[in-house]
Amino acid sequence: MSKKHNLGTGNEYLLIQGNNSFLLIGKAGTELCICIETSDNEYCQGLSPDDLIVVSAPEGGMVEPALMLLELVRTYRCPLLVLPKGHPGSKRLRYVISAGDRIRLSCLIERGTHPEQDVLCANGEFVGLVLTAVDGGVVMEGPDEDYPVSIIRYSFPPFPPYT
Amino acid sequence: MCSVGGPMDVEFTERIKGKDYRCRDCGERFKGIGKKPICPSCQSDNVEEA
Repeated sequence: MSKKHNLGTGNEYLLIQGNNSFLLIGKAGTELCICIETSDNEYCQGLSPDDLIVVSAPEGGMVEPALMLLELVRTYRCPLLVLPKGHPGSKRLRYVISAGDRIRLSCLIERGTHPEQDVLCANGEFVGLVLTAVDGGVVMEGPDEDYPVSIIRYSFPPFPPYT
Repeated sequence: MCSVGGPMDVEFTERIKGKDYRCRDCGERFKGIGKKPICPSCQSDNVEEA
């Protein structure tokens, strides 16, 4: 089973609300490169405009920090920092992010320690959910696609992006 | 629940693998992943495998 939701490439975000957590999805919107920094290497991932940038809040919380994190990566090109396995800081991460054309949610990974961009830590209520970028939207596939979903339209103040 | 703070973690058989690229516009060398390599320095897609 799958369900498609429309999502524009502008200042639109798709919010998938669970009982205890949420996911916030934005489109890359343009061709861009995000850098993934591990303890011993740097990987650079090219994104197409329709690709997804997904923030997961496994413990729930406010949506605004998720918006900010998404924009830090999408607009300000902040690199993604990957912690080594077993790092004590993993448990401090309340918002985690992945980007790509297909992202599956898992609760069996240690938060913030996986450089793979096709998997993202989430609360157990989203386990098995797969998000796939399609033209003009996102397709949700999984055991339950009937999560409350809403579109958020928000524009940050027009500070110039870093060059 | 998520495994934060706990010992559980899945090791993927396919770890992240990058290819070495060189930007034809600015000369930057980088390890790229994904379907569309883009230079991290100048954002150009005019790149070649190095």
